[in-house]
Amino acid sequence: MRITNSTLSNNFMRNLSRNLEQMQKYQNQLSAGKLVSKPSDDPMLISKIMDLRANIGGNEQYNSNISDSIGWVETQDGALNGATGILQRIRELVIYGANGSLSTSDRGAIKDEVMQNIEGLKDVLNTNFDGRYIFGGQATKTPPFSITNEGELLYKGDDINIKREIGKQVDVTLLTSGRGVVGESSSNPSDQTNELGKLLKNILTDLGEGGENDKLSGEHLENLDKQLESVLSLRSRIGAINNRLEAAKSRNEAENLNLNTLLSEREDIDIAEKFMEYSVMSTVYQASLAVGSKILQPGLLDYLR
Amino acid sequence: MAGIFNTLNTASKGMNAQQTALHTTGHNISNANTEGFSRQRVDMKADLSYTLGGVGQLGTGVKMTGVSRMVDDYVSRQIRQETSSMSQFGTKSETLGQLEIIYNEPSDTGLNFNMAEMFESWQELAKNPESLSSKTIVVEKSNTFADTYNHILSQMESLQEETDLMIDKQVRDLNATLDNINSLNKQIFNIAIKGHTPNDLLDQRDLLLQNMSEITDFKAEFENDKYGRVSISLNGAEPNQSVVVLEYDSAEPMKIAIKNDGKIVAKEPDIVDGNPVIDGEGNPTYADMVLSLEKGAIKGYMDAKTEILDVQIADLKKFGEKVAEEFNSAHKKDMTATGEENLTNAINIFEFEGDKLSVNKDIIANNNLILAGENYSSAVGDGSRASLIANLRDKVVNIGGEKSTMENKYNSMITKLGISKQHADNMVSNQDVLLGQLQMRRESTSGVSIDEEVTNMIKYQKAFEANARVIATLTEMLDVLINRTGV
Repeated sequence: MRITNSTLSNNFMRNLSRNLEQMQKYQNQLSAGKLVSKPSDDPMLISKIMDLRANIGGNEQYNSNISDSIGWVETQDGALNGATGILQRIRELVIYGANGSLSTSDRGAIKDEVMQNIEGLKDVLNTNFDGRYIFGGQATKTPPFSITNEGELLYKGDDINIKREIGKQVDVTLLTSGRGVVGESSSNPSDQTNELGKLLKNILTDLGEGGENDKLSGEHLENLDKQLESVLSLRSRIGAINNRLEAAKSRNEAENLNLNTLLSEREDIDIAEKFMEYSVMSTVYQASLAVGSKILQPGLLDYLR
Repeated sequence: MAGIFNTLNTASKGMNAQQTALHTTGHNISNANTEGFSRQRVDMKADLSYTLGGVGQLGTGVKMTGVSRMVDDYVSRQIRQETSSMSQFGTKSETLGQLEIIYNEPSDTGLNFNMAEMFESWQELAKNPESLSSKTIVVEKSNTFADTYNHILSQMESLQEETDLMIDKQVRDLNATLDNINSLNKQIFNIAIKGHTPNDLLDQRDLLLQNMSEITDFKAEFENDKYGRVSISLNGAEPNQSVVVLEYDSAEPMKIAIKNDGKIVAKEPDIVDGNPVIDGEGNPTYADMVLSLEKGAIKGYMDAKTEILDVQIADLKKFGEKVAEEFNSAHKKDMTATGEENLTNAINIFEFEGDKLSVNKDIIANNNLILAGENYSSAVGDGSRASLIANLRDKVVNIGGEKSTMENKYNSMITKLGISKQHADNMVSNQDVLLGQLQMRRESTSGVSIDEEVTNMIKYQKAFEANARVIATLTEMLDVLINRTGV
């Protein structure tokens, strides 16, 4: 084959630009830290990466939902712990007040203390989490519990629990209805009176003047124990939800780690490997430049004098 | 005996021939870097000899028979074919590359990311249904999604227009090239009819043909004309139909035009009894011959447009409409009813009008119109509807006959674009290698080698000098004969 000067220079240019293109590719990958930057670099890989990113985004959202729910149930647990203490104190006072040897004024003092404790109970049940009342059902913006002048605890929230999504198609129901704590006195949902409120009001009445003292140690104590038990059982149910959420959280985090690992495997470069490839390419490129400067120079004219 | 004057004549012819060859060498060297130039050579042969009685045949020196150019027509034709393929995939890849830039995926600013953020904002609202700021975030994320969507769509539409303009420009280039080739045909004829070979004009014509092969594939025929003029035919829409757009002896080539429906046609003048048909306004009338160009830049642009751009624009519109429809119906539906009944006073989140997506103006004015719960009177802590809308993310919907989630549909559009672009890129790099080899073959026949020309230069110079020496010698001989003989 007849080789001319242009053959050499064309070949040289073609190879040089091919080398430079490779250099650019490696430089892009190294500077971005990513294997691919456009869909045409590797369409299937890009599609996988986009899916993974969407999955990770969704997963992180679930994680935030779970953390929020855990905060919520922990606050509930704390509030119920307080409520249990208060109810136990009321129980002690009821037993004390049932003592027949007490004077009317002694009983009045006990009644005052019970009254204070009912206030305390109201406050603890009106605890809020992140500005939302934890025992108001879905009526989270208004304090769900209040006390009438007669000392009756009223519940103004609704009895719908709140659902939280903690995974794809996985819901958890937070027991936010205050009815779970205080019970209901009728089937009418708008009836604000409730078992606990009625009981406490009766205790107050019977501690007062002309009250039926003997009911205190009998009927009321028995009902108070029932109420205490139902609060404890609600607390253990909430504890179970907390366990479930904790389990979901660790599962979620494991999954997140998995997804991120998968994404990284597909998307990120192995810096050591890439840098080695780049170094090899860079050597090749410099070699072609050096050779080019040698082969393109000499011609017959250099030797004719 | 050969006469001295006869020999003088032979030497003079030799000088003449060597000088002419040197001139051509100079022509070659000065055109060493001229695009499309083929090296030339002066053809020489021994001139007619005559018989010298009792001695034999005596030569009469050298005769120049012509100047020929070194070309391999077969390689030129192959280069034209492969250039067409190269330019087809090159323009396709270039157009799809612009589309890739428009989509800007994968990134933290693309539609895919905006859509994910929008779904996540609904999750956040489901968690904080009582918070106005969560609703504001939903509105803002929806707005961002709609903006990005509109931006992508309008950029795609301008790319579509731009591609149409590019096709238009290519067609105009094609017409101009055909005109140029036609006028070269005429110049070639004027020289060839006098018995000469118009080497440089032929080079120019070959270069024009090669340039034209970037625009479209065509068939060039030289065989029909003994003067070397070319006829050009393009591929017709009918099977095996070829439309001769430039006949070697025609006055002017047919005009190529684009019809409103995007079809490319050659306008063939109507001829009756050898005369052009003239319409009422004195213009000649034409019949449209529909062409089907199979390679070249025009085909590349058309492929990018019809295979990807047009399809993706239509898909994206369907996608936007579907997103609006799904969000709206989830926002409006009566969650307690089993059927598709809507709430009273229910409003849309998105409006999709004139292929533009926008958030309902009422919602922008009053973010509280975003419904997180079952209805407008449900408790503030009710996030069930927000949760339902957030779950649209995993809902399999039917977009233009394809069933997938909304995000997957969008991703599959990106994947399809990526595959087409990658294919075009691969074809370009294959063609590049192939074309490189063909050009090397062309170069090996037609290219000017400086070393070779310099060698020839010395060769012709020495021969010129030797011929001059012959004349000097003859002069001395004449001097002897005239001035010294018999003195």
